[in-house]
Amino acid sequence: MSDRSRGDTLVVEGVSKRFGSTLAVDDASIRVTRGELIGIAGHNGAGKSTILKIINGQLAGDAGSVTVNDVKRAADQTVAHPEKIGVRTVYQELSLCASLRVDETAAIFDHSARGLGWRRTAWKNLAAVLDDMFPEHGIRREAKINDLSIARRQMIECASAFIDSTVPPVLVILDEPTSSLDAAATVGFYAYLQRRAAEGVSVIITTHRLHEMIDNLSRIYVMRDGRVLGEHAAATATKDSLVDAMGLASHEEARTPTASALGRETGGVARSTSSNEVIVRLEQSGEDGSPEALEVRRGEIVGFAGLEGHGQLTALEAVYRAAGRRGRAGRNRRTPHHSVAVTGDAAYVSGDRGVRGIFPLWDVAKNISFSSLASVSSAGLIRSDSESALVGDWYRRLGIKGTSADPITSLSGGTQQKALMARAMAVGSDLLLLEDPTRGVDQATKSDVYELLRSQADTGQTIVWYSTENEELRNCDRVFVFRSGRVVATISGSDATEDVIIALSFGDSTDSTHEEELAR
Amino acid sequence: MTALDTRPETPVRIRKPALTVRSIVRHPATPAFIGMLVVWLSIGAIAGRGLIDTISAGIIIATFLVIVGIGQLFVITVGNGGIDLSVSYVMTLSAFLACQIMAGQDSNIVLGLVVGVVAGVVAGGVSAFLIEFIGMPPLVGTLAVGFGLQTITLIYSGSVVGVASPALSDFTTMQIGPIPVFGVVGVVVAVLFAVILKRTPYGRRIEAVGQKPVAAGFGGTRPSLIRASAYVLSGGMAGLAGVFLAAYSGGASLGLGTSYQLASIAVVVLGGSLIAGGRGIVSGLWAGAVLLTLLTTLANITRLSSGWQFIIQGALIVLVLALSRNPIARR
Amino acid sequence: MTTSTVTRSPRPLGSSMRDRLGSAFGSWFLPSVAAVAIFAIMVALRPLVASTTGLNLVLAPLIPLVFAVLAQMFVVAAGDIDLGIGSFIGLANVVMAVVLPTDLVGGLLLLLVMLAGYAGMAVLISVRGLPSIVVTLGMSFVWLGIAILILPTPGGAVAPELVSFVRFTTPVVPGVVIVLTITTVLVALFLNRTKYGTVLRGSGSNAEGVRRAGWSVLRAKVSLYVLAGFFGLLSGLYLSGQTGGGDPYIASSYVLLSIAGVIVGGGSFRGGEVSAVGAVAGGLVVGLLGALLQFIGVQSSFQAAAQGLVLVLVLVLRASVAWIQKVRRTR
Repeated sequence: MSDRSRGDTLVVEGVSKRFGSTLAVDDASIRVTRGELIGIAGHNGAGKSTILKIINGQLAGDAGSVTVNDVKRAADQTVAHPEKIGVRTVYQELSLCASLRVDETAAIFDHSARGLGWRRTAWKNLAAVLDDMFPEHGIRREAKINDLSIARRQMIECASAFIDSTVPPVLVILDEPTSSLDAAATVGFYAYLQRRAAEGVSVIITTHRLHEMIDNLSRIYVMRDGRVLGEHAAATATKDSLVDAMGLASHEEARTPTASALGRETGGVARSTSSNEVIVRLEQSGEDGSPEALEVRRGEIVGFAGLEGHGQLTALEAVYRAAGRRGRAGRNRRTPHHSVAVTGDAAYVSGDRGVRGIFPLWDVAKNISFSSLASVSSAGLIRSDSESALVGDWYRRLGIKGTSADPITSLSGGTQQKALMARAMAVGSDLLLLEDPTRGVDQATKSDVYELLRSQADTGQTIVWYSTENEELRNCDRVFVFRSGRVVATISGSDATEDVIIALSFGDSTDSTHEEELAR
Repeated sequence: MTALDTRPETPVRIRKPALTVRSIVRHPATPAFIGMLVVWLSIGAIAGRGLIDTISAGIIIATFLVIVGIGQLFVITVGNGGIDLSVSYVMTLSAFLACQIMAGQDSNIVLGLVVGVVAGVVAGGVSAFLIEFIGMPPLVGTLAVGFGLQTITLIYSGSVVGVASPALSDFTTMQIGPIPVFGVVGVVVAVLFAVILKRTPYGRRIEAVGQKPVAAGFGGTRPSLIRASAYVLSGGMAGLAGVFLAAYSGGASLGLGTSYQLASIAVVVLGGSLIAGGRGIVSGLWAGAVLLTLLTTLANITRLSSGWQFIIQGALIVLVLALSRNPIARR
Repeated sequence: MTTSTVTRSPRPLGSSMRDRLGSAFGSWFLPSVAAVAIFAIMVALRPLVASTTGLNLVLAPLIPLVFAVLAQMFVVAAGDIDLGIGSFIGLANVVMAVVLPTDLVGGLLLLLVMLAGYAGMAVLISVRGLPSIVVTLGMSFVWLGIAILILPTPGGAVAPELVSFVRFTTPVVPGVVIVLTITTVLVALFLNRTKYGTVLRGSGSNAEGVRRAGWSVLRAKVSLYVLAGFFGLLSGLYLSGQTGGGDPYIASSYVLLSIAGVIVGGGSFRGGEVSAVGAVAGGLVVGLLGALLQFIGVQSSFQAAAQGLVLVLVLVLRASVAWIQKVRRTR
């Protein structure tokens, strides 16, 4: 359907973007012709969201250029009003105002609805798109956004990206637009995109639902580690070929396991036979509805894998809440999919360092000692010599550079992460929970982290580790793969290659009801 | 790559660098101390009054503000929009309660103090309940409690003709040589709570919850309990200040606490604590309290009308806030 | 397409009925019923209240309060709280009683500067990310201070034209009813039937979403604050006309009452969720409650507590409803 002679709506050339030590986007080039529907596929953290934000001008890139409708700009320039150049974006997190009515919401997006009857005009314009896109949407104009289901809110977001407004859409960017839509709505949505494409509107979509891209788009770019690895014609692509492409780079690595990985493997086997004490017990209902239990034993390293937002984080946090505290026993916790029981206490390392991890006003020492204050205090006062000793000890064990009086915010992401791990490990808990501890961390630190976890496990600490970087799950004894909230597979660490995990996490079907639940 | 065990010999420098001139200049409490000195010296220059007399009178009156302000500081530092607008009403009610119990007798000093503080603790507990368990914004929760207390005080005060115990009154004005005893109490209280905030696990948790409640939760504390404790503490401190203030001024009156509502917040802000929470500076608060007190003295000496005093106080807060740096703000 | 088509279970009839009821009546419905109910009780107690004179007598003192509630409503719509509205209205009253009669131009200019002050607060709060509570509290002392400078003790005389304008009435329909109706209709039309009114409400609810749609969030905040200032001035105007004189402290009780009015009227601290009809009704509920208590001979000191209690009760009730809904949903 794409006809390159009709000209390009979007040309992205050599765009790069670095966040701290991570190269989020690495020399990426993308081309979208007029009236073309393209997709960007990639696993978590491949750089999809970042490049989309650079394209619509909300984020400044470091290098490269972006050309929209033959207007070229350097990628390091942001755009205050992308809607004025016909670029519309539907973000994953919704941007509707909960307190407004549907027609009022439409008017916020529709700058052409003015004067008397602005609500009617806006609603007319939105309803035209809605009726075309989702014939059975059932949205009433006077309903409040707050009272609508998440699916209907997503319908409104999608539809409002295609209203004409004062500047009609030229390029529409959709980030997981169908995550809350059911199958019928999804079909209608893509059919609408095809019709609009025929009129000359270009669309970029990212979604984890590969079959949707294959069935409905013309080309699919595959990204991995910030690089655009290649483009695939949807007509010839299959899910396997895309999954293959997304994991390709790790192929060779996985075949030649490192020495440390080998050494660990034998150790892992020896330990699992020696200890049978169950630390974490995760119950869920199996495929056939009968209850099944997953157990994590003392000294084991278990990874939680799967696509982002498929219940790993919920399960991990439930494990933390189920654990005991300060000598008190824990209690069982329920999540929508699991019942969790924990023996002993737990410490938690947060992956979202900025929001859930560091205390930004403090130096590194206070950040490290925070969870172990009782052990460095006597008579209710924190003893600075004990605190220094504790902090110094962990500085040495983790090889953290600099002084402990440095403000935590002056450290690189990787070093901050080490400090957070030190905070959790200093507790000396039975269970150590890690939430994506190597996100945005350089390779050297990653290796340090793996070694450290292994040595902690050897001392009898149990480790549960949620990761979005599939290749590092080889460092686990076992890996639980999550899909739609449930653990769908348990594989041993040596089998946990990127390919296997990607294949398992995409599964055979994409069940939209579960995703809707998760999005809530 | 396997660095963990191979580089233990790297020298690891631990703990504070030495106290340098730069670190003193950049300390958040420094502006408050400088302001305090400036006002103090200008009083001497303008009114020609003895500097020692001025400061010893100043730090007595500032002590009430220090005590209330510390409670306010904990509430603000614990974050989440924390603010305690009930302190002025707690002070007034506690003052009446204590005066009725003491009834001009020295034998009931302890009981009067205890009842005053307990009343504040209960009020703080109610605020904490409304805020942390019902989910009201701190402003509304404490204001609602405050107005409740005001009504109780209005009704109850009609039947009370209590007088503070003479011994307690003497204590608040006593001087040993040039040194005002009650001023020393203020310094001691400030030091005590500075130690609590900076050198006890509880204080660390207060600051941690004020910075990142979620991170503190993952670090093994219960943010809502820590926050609730701050309101209780604030209530207790306000109660204590109320009793002392009644003793100092000879008895309780309905307007006793009124000026402390804004002033308690002002001294926190002036002292370099972060209004968004996470960093409390008790030393700065003490200097801020003395500064505000001396400012009133200066205004009285220069016969500045009360209107100007209000304007200066209000504008000072807004100005300090507008100029203050927020260390977390940069992304 | 692959397997597993989703059969969306139709929503139970009950809930869709409730939805329809909810959106038909809106959050303003209950407070309106409450206002009418309280009024009915008053009529039952004293039938004369229902006459034109009676209506004027009962409702007139409520008009300044209703305007104050509307002012607070605009700030709450921005997701903030205004603690300075009481002093602001007091200052407006003083300006109208003292400055305007002697110096018309200067007085009007002063009122304009006050409006600009509200715009300035909005900029400060929005750009520097400051807590509205502390900024408005600080500014409240500035307003109060200026008012005291102009008028140290209550006095002054409002121009007779202003008095007669405010006391305007017709033999058939009481003037207060006309004023209330026109105001309510105008504000409701602006908030709900103009596009910018909608943008304003949206900006308080999801500022990021509104920004993405191409609107200026800063301008929206300034607009809301200026509107709040404008209604504060109106409130001052009516207070001046009704009392005929000036008093800096005349509206100090309006801070809590205006917040209570907005909340009783269905507003929410989350921002964006306000209704003009609700706010007016909420203001009437809070004000009529005071009048009713007075009717049945309750001491005036109880009234503040009763009004505060209504605020607390409404919030507790809402919290429990939200909690029950949450429990139901998870079940």
